[in-house]
Amino acid sequence: MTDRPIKYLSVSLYHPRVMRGGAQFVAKDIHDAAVRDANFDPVMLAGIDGQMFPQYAKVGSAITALPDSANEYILAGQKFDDFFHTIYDQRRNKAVARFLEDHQPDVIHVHHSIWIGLEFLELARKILPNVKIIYTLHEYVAICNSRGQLYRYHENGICNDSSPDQCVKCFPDRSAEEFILRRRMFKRAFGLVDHFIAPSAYLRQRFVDWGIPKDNISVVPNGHKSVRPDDWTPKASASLNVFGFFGQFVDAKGIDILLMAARVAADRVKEDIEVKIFGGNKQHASEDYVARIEAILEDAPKNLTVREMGSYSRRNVFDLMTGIDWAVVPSVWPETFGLVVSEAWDARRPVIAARAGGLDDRIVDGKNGLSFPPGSTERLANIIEDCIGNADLWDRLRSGIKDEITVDAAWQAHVDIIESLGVKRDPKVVQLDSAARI
Amino acid sequence: MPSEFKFQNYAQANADLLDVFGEDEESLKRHYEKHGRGELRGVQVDRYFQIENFFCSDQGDIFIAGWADRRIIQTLQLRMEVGYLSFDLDTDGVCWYARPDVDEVLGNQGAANGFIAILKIPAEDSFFVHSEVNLYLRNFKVHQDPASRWLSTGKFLDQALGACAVLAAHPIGDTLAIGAQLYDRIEPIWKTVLANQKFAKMVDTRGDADVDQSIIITIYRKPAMLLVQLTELADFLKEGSAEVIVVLNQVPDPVGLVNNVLAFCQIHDIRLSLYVCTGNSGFSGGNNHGAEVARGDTLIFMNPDVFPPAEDKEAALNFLKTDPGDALHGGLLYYGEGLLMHSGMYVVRETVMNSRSGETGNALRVEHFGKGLSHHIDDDEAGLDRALMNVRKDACIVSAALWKVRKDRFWALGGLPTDYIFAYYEDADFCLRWIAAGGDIVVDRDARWIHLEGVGKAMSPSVRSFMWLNRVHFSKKFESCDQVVDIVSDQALL
Repeated sequence: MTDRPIKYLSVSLYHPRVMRGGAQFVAKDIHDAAVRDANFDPVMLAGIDGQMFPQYAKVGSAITALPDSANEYILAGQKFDDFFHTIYDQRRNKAVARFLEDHQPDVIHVHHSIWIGLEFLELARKILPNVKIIYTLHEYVAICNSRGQLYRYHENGICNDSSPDQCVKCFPDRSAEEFILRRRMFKRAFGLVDHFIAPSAYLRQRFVDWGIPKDNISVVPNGHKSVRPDDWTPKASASLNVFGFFGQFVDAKGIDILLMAARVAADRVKEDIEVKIFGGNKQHASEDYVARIEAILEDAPKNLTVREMGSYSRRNVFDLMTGIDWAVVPSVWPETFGLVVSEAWDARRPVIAARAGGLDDRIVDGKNGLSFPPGSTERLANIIEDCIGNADLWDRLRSGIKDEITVDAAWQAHVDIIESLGVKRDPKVVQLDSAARI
Repeated sequence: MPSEFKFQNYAQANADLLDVFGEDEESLKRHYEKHGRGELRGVQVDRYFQIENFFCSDQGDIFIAGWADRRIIQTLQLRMEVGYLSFDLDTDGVCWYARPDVDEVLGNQGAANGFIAILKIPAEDSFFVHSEVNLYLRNFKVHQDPASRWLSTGKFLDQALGACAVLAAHPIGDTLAIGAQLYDRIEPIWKTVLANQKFAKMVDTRGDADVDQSIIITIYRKPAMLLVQLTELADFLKEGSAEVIVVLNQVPDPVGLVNNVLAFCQIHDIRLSLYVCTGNSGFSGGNNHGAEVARGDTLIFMNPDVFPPAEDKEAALNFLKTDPGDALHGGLLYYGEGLLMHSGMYVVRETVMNSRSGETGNALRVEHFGKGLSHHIDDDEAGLDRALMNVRKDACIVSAALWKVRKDRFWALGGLPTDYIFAYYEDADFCLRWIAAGGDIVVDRDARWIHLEGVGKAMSPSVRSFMWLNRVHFSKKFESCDQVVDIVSDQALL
């Protein structure tokens, strides 16, 4: 029981203002929710690649404040061991140690190891032996060195066996022994964590299988901020033939699966089919992937229109979603959560998703969306055929959609976990503080 | 069929002889038999002699490799011009070996037509590097380079070892003799390289703290596992009285690693010193340096890929703090997945034969007791008993991947031997000498450690080469040793 607000430190990979991305949005949302909670005194520290964003990495200073943001800081690194996920930098250690001493967090919520470094956990334990550490697993990086995706690029399939000898198949230049050590490093560091949070049951189970005790890991979906106006009525196009993809233009997102399926469907039906692709980072897609997509679109049937719509943001995604009838999430990697599903649901768009990872947790086939095996163009093509002009199906699925939990609800789940770890605020003091704020 | 000496042709083709002997048949014939044949007069030398590799060090070391038809070119009489200086090279040490590819060209099946020559311009001769180098076989220019590159001794050694790797792939019986010859040529170069190494002390934390044990970790090139290893040992190191001495051999970006290690020591308050070698001092050189600077009375030599088990580390870590007494101790080593890799080693002597000459000799090899047995690191004592059932104590030696020995006893034997080029066989050498000196060797049953020995990775040509040369040297040095078992005994040992 503490007589002051609970000091809550969020440690994230990047900050949405430095670089947008799912994990940092979630971290910032939770931080902002803590700001709104009188029981908490939050502070945020975002690890970044100082070489990539030199404007945030002031010479000689490991930690800098984010301009115009109270209690939000940037921890810029210069070198990162992207295999063992360590940094080990003297200046940084000094700064982090002092930061922790100054802020004295009761709870540290770590959202990543990349550009944070696993030794951060050791340092935190050294400086604050009694601090409670929560760790949100946004991807599978501890299990998988291949972008934390559990996806075998050389086989184009989800990795269901992350044994060290299997990892070597993705990384032939490394030995199984190195992967054994990598796993040890993560497990040792994770041994310093009091509780883990998984955004989906699928991810939780993968980490339980990997070695985290099941009682030490809770599922808390990523909360969603609805932007849907009150009394808004969802509408679709008259032909119900517009299929939208929202996400990054990278290999594992399966744009090629969608386009191939749309092409197959267009060959079979007379109606027009339109595919809109919203997303950036095409430059990160492999050359093979881009070539494959171009080949798919070559000599496409005339009733198929594919439009690249450019990138999108949280601010305009609702409006963009209303411009499609069906949201397709054709990922071939086991998505940990699937933020785009929450966004589609907010706009009451039925989701057609691959049964991959966390997506399978959320899409109940025939109830709130439709699903197909990851990578199956034939099954997706069949679904597309069924969807075109099918108002009954659209209405039925739409009516089955429920919003994802709110950020505040997600935050409450975090608070419950924090309390279960024995960190509580004296309620009398809370009342006083709340009154003072008003 | 009577033979005829065409003395007139001989005289016409050799103007120098024509001046001296005119067309005197007897004199010309006598000259041809006594000198002219050896001088390769009238021979198109480039059709019977080729140099394929030639390089020199700035200290006068010369490497020449190529082939010759030895029915025509029976001896190599080589002369090298470096700028305005000329040197007759002592070619006694030219090593000949069989080259089937040359056999095909020359039609001389089974002949030793290939050669490797590692030569040296004697130190007492005036030698200055110059841009122009010419090499002559007799009076025939067989190599020329108007802008020669001169290698440092270390680079020369590495390149020479790499160029000898072709022999390392042959059956040991075929290369035992040439290996011994080449070892004798290369060993002095290695010693020169070793003598030139310097060690810079770059880290020293808690240098004033009391120390009982010194853990010496020598790293060659790849330091990636060091911080992981230190992390695994950190709790033990913080609580105990052991220091860690890290010696870096040819590690890229040592400054970056020093920064990493210092940052590690900020988090983990341990006694650690780190030395950066200016080159590669080899396994013995690095570890001996660690032993020289060690403050503890007990030395623990630990490979950078050795780790305590992930679970239940206590017994393994206990190995680090208990007194070895007068014995040399080794641990039980297990693969990453937990199966037994090492419960001691033994040396086997086998008779090998040169498949061309029919000559026989002794080659030694080092085997590990227990390697590949289905005994797991977590097995109980009974399981371990079964695994150790065939360990022959009188022949048992231990791998320096994990050693424990009193410092005074270590130095009483002169430390690790430095006559092995870079690495391999030095621990077996030390153990056999240890036993010969009356010492005991103990495999500590409670010290169960993981050894993440790299597997399945291609070795560079120079590594393959010095492994082979060291084996040849080891074989020669210990072929009569009592602890070496014969091939029949080997069949029952596991």
